[in-house]
Amino acid sequence: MTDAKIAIIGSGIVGVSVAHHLTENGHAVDMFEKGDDYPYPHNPQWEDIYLRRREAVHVMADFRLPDDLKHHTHSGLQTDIEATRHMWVGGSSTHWEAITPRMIEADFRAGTTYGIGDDWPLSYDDLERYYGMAERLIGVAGTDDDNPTAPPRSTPYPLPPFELADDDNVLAERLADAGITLHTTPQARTRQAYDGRQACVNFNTCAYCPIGARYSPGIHLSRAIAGGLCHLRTGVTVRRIVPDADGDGATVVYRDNDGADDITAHYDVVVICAGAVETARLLLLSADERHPDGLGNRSGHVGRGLTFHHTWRGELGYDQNLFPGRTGVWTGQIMQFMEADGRGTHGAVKVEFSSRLEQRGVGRLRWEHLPDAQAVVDELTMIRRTRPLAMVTEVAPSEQKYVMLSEATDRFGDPFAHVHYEMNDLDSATYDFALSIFQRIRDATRASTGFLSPFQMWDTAAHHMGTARMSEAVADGVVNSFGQLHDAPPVFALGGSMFVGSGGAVNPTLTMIALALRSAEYIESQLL
Amino acid sequence: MSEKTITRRQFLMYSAVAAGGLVALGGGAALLDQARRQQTITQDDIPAEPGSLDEQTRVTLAAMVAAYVGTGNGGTNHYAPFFDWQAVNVPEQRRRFTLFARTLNLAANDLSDTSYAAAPLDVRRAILRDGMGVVMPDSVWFDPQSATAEPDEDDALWLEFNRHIIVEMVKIFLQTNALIMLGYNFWPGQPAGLDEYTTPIEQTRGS
Repeated sequence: MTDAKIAIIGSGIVGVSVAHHLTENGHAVDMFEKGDDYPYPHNPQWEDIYLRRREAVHVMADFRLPDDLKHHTHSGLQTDIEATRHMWVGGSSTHWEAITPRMIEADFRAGTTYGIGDDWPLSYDDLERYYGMAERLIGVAGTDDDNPTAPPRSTPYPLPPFELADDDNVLAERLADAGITLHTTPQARTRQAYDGRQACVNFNTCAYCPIGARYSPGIHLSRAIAGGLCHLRTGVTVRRIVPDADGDGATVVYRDNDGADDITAHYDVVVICAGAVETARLLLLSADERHPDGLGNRSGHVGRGLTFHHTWRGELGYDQNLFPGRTGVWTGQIMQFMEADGRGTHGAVKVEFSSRLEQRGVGRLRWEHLPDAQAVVDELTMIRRTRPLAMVTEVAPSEQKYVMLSEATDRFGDPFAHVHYEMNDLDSATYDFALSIFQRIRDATRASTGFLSPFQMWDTAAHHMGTARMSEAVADGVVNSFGQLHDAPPVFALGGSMFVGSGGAVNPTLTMIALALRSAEYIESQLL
Repeated sequence: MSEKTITRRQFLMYSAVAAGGLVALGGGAALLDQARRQQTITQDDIPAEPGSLDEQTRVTLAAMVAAYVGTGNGGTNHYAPFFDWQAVNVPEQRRRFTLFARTLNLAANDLSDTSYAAAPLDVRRAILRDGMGVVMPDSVWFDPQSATAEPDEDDALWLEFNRHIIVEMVKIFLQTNALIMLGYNFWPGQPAGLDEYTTPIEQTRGS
């Protein structure tokens, strides 16, 4: 036991942001993490993959929890979300792409403006200051000078942008002729040395950045621990949250992953930031006599607002050599289709059209090529001429997208999460819109070949949202705009879970951090 | 220069010898001399448990990679940490690497009276290509439509080499040297600097 008054459940980027803010202001926190330590900086993993040439999937397996601790069941879902749920110290942001645009103003009122879902209970203006704090915390490099869709800002980016790639410039010129703006990408990478982190030197291995140039939560977690105010418990599973009857605090019921007995600890404030799926699961597991349908679930909304960013991927091939992918940073984005006419009949679309290295053609190799290295290379020349792109899209909640408790249970007998997810007519219309954008880009850039994956083949971009949504009225959601449970004020649910819908088509992590910092300020001023 | 050629069946004789338990000792000229004196050992002397590779095996594996990749394609030193780590950490790999090296040396000894590492490039390539000619049906790169030969029992040893050594080498090649051969200046994992990607590639070469 410690004398901490605050428990944080989940050591990912949201939990670490809260821990950083509170410990910097002198408050002790206990952090609970189901997984084990995941070294930061990530050079041990980098050395395994890029020096010893172990396959990344095997390296990650070294840290993965067993199936009786980390699992979910699903129905209707055609894509594997388990691989995007990293349960170890630092969470999924140990592997994120670090693309950090802000949501645009219209995304906060998509309900009244476009009829897509509901409005958020706060505006862009309410969050703008915290966006700046979040950008400074994680070191965002960027500029809005080339992005006409960027929302207004009161503070500059803390770091200058990563420029477009040479091959981006070739294509940007062609796109401009067609009225499409390919602009730089805001991202949490050190364009210059920043806050004790080295400047990026372009290892082109960003998922395992060996020098911490790409932001990873380990940066601030290690500082919080070194400062003596953050106590991290790894290898423990939180099974229940039990709010006090008088509303003064809550008890965390947890167990060592290899333990036989529950352990309890009482806190003034409990902050759940365990990812959208696990946060909903923990709230549902916390049902008791006073919360018979689950904690925060008086409205019946826990788990009900699940959204992903449906992401369709494709590629474009050109007749000329472009040599894409000479960097691991993200270069080109197209955000203008987030505000396109017709939004409402379809969702917003953000295009990621960066200079990426894709091993195109490797799958088409045949064994008879292999004895001759030059023959192998001759089969791969399309790498020099092919660029991938991704259409990241807005999704509205629906009755057929939700998280509930599964019949399958973990090693403690607690039900896993069950994810049910069905696409609907709006999703289909959004795909059609994304396909039309793809065709415009293909034609404008004079691509000679290209494809976009069919409607059924999408992934989540690892963006999981909406399972404990914000609302002003108790009947309309799970938490208020500070992430505080309507029916259990000492308990907060932060992160993507508190989103109302998908927040447009924007990568959610910067918004998650901004909301978390706003909540941390609120906790400090109102509850401590 | 025309490359030295051997028939696959001819080469498989060496594999068969090795598989049958007879492998030549030593390296370089010593190997040749000992082989001529018919001083052979069984592969029983190869440690079964994981552990560090002996120097002859390391040198032979490096020569094998260099034969495959060629010169001037970004270098081949980055393969050694893979072999070393696998030998120590992956069951059976030290035995495979050692047996593979001895097999290469035996073939080189017959074709050029040298160890594999000391053999001319065309000999080293001929030996490697001959062994890689044993198709591997469980490879992702195996196309049953175009396969002309099914592996037989004599291919068993090279099937094992291809499955556990050659395929892994090719994967590393695809991630590294192949990119240099395609015209890139760096492969992922090498700090290229931020000017690299914003500069037209022809200018980075100073041409």
